[in-house]
Amino acid sequence: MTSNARTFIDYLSGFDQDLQLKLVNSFMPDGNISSDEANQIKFLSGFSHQDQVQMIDNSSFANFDWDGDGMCNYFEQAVNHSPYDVYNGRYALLIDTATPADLPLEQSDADCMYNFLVVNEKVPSQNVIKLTGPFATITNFKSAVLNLSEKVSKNDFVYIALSGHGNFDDFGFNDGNGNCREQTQE
Amino acid sequence: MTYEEINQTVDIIKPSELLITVFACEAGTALPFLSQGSSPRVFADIGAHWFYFASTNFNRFGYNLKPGELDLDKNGYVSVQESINTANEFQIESANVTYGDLNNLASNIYFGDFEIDTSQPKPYVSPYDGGHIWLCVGEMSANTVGCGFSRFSLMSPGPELTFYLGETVNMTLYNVGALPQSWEIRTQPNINGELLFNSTISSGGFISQWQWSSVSFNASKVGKFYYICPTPNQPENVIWGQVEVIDLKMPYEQFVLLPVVSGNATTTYSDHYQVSVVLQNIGTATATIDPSKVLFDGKLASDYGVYAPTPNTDNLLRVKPGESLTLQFSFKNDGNSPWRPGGPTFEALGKVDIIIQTEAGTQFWCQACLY
Repeated sequence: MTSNARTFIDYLSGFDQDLQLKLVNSFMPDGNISSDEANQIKFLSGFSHQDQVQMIDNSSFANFDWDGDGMCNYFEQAVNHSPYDVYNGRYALLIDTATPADLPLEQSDADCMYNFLVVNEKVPSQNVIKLTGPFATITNFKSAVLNLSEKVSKNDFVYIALSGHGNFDDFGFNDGNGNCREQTQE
Repeated sequence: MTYEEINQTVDIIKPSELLITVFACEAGTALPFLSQGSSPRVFADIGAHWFYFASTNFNRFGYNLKPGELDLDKNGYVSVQESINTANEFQIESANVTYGDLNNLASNIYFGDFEIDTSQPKPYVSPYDGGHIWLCVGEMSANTVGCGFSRFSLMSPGPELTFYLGETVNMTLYNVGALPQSWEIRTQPNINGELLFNSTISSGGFISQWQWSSVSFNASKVGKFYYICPTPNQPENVIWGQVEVIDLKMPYEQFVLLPVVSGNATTTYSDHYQVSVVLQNIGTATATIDPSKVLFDGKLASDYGVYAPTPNTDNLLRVKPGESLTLQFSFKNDGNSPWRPGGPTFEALGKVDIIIQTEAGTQFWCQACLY
């Protein structure tokens, strides 16, 4: 028996048959308890029995992301320690100055990060700014930061990744022509 | 652009947390500037030359991440600190990852809720594969030492650990406090108990602050034990937590059968319907069901009646844990469902309650939907 299935069975035992049926129909359409489903059960278990019955009755138990920020309730409560009922926006600024223009995009650091954040982490693509190669200039970087500062609130998380050539105490942005050290040498 | 200028630029952003990583030569020189700001900062410099945190780990996230590679505390998620800790194992040059200010790397900062391996058990349960458990230990207060899966989740007693009989356990203790620490499993919650499994970490010595040490042992005895710290300068051998070693061959819960596939009858009018219901044993014991006790008459939600013929076999069917059983049967109108005008056909739409009785007399109930 997987730990997920056991979590579900343990949880079922606390409710009457009608509620059990509702839970089974919601959580087991494919016959398995996924990790996400098990985590939601663990999340719900933290509430009082009366609250849980109400959640099953009004079907809010089946919503894995109450605040709709792309991070599931369990993750926010138990792992990330961010509020599960407050929208936490996630933004990223990915700078990859050294990417040659003819390099396939998927091979750049910024693209690996972009794919991870957008595909795996479900960060809205409009929240991820990616500046690579000749676009990774100081001007564009400052514009992107200004853009972020206007969007980001105190509840949000921001990730800035700088990838490229460095020197003591400075980072070499691209000059817009594919050269990524000239501006640091000024 | 100097890192000081970059810091002044990004400091206009006022988020809950700002994470910055730099992959570049001499990136460590960015630390004094980028690790501090008007909002909480997490900074990771990527170290020297072409070994770096971001590409190594993001490539692995995207392409070839393996269970347990990064998720040191086995909570199913990868924090920033875990990413950087683990990066050492995948370096492609001899240079080491530069942590910068380790205290500034929050272990509870995550990129999101992407789980690296959805089949992994709960954090305190061993992952079967000899995976690595990473425990942090340190002072929670002046008189209390705790431990946890991250330095921000210390508790006393610490989290319960579950291993499986015969399993090789790899344990790392990371001292995030000021007092020297060690770790071992005993039969009692003090040093008078028998030492088990040669499980002592840092035998003969203790782990200093911000240092870690590992031990590998075989969980060769079933039972409930304790892990403790035998550190002499702590108050009365603080009990850190319980360890349970279980034998997977010992069934600890009865079988459970749940329907995993609903009936395949359609709403097309017919004079009879073929229905299959797949039941999966998600328990630990073998389920034995008597098909003659399978009942599938009545209780259709739309008041349609069904006629249950003799099941297709009289043999007992055994379902081992994890296996599935398919019940196939047909039903006809028992006269309670309305016949379709002009022909001997009727419509089946609703739910069938199925009651299964085992040879031990246990009854349980499940339901199949007909759409």
